[in-house]
Order: sequence, then C-alpha cells, then structure tokens
Amino acid sequence: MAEKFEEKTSGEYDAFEKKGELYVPKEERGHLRSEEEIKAARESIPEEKKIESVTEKTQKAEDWQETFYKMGGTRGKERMEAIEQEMAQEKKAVESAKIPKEGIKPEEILKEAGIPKPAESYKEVQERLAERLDKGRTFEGKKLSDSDKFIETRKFYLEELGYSVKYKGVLLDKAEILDESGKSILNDKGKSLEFKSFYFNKTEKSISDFLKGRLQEKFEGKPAEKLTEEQKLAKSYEKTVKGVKNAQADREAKISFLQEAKTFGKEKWGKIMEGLARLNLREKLGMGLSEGKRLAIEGGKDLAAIGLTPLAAIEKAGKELQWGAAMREMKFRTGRIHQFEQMPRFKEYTELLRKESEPANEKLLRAYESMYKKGKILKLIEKLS
Amino acid sequence: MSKLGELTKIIDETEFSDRVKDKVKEISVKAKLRKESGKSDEECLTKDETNELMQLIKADMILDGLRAKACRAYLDEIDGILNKLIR
Repeated sequence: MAEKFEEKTSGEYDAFEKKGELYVPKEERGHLRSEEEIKAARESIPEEKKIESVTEKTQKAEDWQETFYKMGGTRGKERMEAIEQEMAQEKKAVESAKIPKEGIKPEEILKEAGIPKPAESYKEVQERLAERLDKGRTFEGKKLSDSDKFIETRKFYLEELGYSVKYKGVLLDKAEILDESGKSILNDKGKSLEFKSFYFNKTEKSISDFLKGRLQEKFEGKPAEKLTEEQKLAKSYEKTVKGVKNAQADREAKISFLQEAKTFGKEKWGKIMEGLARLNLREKLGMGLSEGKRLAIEGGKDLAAIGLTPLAAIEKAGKELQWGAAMREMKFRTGRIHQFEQMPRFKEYTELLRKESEPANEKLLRAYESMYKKGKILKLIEKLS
Repeated sequence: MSKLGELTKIIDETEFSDRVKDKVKEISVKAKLRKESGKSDEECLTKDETNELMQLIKADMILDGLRAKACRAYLDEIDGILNKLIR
C-alpha cells in the first residue's frame, strides 16, 4: 500500500516540477531558500514565463479596467488603436509630402478653410455639392455612406440658402424652416410651413426636396448678382458665420434633448463613453491633422516663409487652441452599469459635450473673422500696388 | 479715409500670430510715417515691403485656416457623438 502511494505521489510531483518554473529541486526539498536565492531563481526565468505577483496583477487589472472604460469597451479600444495607427501614417505622409513650387492663392485658403466664394449659378452649386460628397468623410474617417450623403446634402442646402431648422413637438418630430433672417417660412395660407422632422428619421425627404427647390429658384431665371471682390468676400464670410452659428444651435438643441431623457440604454452608455474616449484621444494626438493636411501642403511654400513646415504648422495651430480642458476633469467610474444610477453621470457627460463645443465654436468664429480681415487686407494691398 | 489709412486701420484691428505680428506692425508703422511726411498712398510701401507684407499675411491666413480646420474637426467629433446618441 505504502509503495503504491509513494509511486503515485512521486509521479504527480514530477509532473508538477515540469510545469512549475519556481520548483524546488529534489535535492533541496525541505530547505527554505533565502531571498537572494529566490531573486536569482526569478531572474533565471524567461520574461514571458514569469508569474506576476498579486500586487502586480491587481495593478494591471485596475489599469486595464480604466483603459477599457476610457476606450469605451473592447471594440472601442480596437478603434482607438486604429486611429493611432492612422494618425501616425498621416503624420508621415505630411512630413514626406512634396510642397508645390508656387504659393497658394488667398481664395484657395479661404475656400479650403470653409469660406468659399458665393456660387454664381445652380450648376456651380451642384458641382460644389458633388465635390463635398466625394471628399467628405465620416467622423470615423470613412467614405460617406448613402445615408450620410443624404444628411450632408441637406446640410449643404441649408448652408447655401442661409436657412436653419427649428424642431417642434415633444418628440421633436416636426420641423419648421427659418429663412435667412430667422423668420419661419409660411405656406399660401400664411401659416408656418411644417415638415416631418428628420431628427430620428435621418433620411426624411420632404425638407431636402423643399430646400433643393428653393435653391434652384434662387438661381434659375435670374441674372447672376454683380458683386465686387470685397462684396463677394463679405458675403461668403457672412454665410459661413451663419452656418457655424446654426450648427451650434442644432448641437445645443440635441444636447438639451438628450438631457431631458429619464433613462438610457446600455448601448447609449457605450456610445457616449466611446465617443468621449475618441475625443480625448484625438485631442491628445493633435486635432486637425487629417483635415488640415491639404491646406498645409498646398500652402507649404508660404509657411516656409515664416519658418514652418506643413506638419509643424498643423501641430502649432492645434496646440494653440488648448483643447479639452473639460475632458481632463472627467473621472471615469468603473463597475457595472446600472442605467438609473448612472443617469446623473450620463447628463454630466452630455453636458461635457456642450462645455467643449461652445469654446470650440467661438474659436472657430474667431479664426474665420481673422481670415476675413486678412482677406480684406490683401485686397487693399493689391489696390495700392 | 485714404486707402492706406484704411489698410493701416484694419491691420491695427486684426489679430496676428506671434510669428508675423512684429514684422507686420513694423511695415505698417513705416508706411504710416511715410504718409505723414507727405508721400502719396502708392509711395508709402516699397515693392519689397508690399511683397513681404502679402507673404506674411498669407502665411498667417493659412495658420488661421488650420486653426479653423482643427476647430471643425473637434466639432465634427462632437456632432458624431451626438448623432450616434440621438439615433
């Protein structure tokens, strides 16, 4: 019996010895190793086979959890890594880009930054729309889908006309269109023209069709407006400013709508966490790299005159804006999500979107104002010379 | 107001980046002084000064454009989040 037991234990023990890396050699069994011996034994173990201590394991788990929540979950993390890689590639592309021999024209700078000259015909409007849809990318950097193109088209029509949308109803399911002067567009009976809102149904057609018709009316059958260069510049600037202000009003309406919610689904929690994580990451990696690269490269010769490379100029412009002060205050809470408990936090996070968008919008308007004034200066210099 | 007066006034009212600010102001002040000493508008800026001023302002305009692009990118991110939440 004893013999059998001996055989069995010894066999099991041998198997254990083979598996374990910190086993005590047979000849040393019963001998307690000193700290130095343990350290030496640990060091002899290949790095990948080392077993973490409990403290290390806990720390790692906590770090991972924090990252996980910041990144908005596993899928979010993968997306963040993809953004990092993409931005690194873009940086390389800007660094190695060939700078044109000629400088960029002021009109091109304005157009590229979002202050294009007013269109002179409906055909020109259509061409601009086609270009915008072709060049447009989603905020995730992908080409626009059919549904995205539909939304972008409606946005374009609104901007071109200087119109805006006012949502109505408890569920914001109705909409009125406000004209250039902010007045509601009326029907034949003198009542406000009401449309089905596209707030939830993104591809709702009625508003788009109406706007397209208005735009066509604006150009067709009428001779092109004769404007001086200064007037054209002023008109484009005003239109751009209006578009920026309308976009912010739309953003605020959406934020208020979200904050009125009494509850939210787990899916929405994931979306906001991932969205904020993206915002944090893009702020960290430098804003405007993908969007500004064309302008920086095309204007490379002019930037060189003030001692900047295209990449340095993009980074300088991004840093000067000092993004995300509110984002940095954010505390990520770990643990399971209970939607009712987390409602105040959901509101806090949507409020962050407001806090972040307001100064960004003001800075955008300031940048446009500065560009407009510089455009005027250049025109005055041209007149003098 | 003379064309040059208009130009120097708008230069005073415009925000320039640190990189070009001093040089732009310097050229503008020189032009103002020449005007005060009785020169015509066209004589207040030399050809080199005109070219330099245009170059500096154009470069600074590009920097503004890049700032605008960065702001737009940031706001687009925010719009992206909002659209996903509303959907």
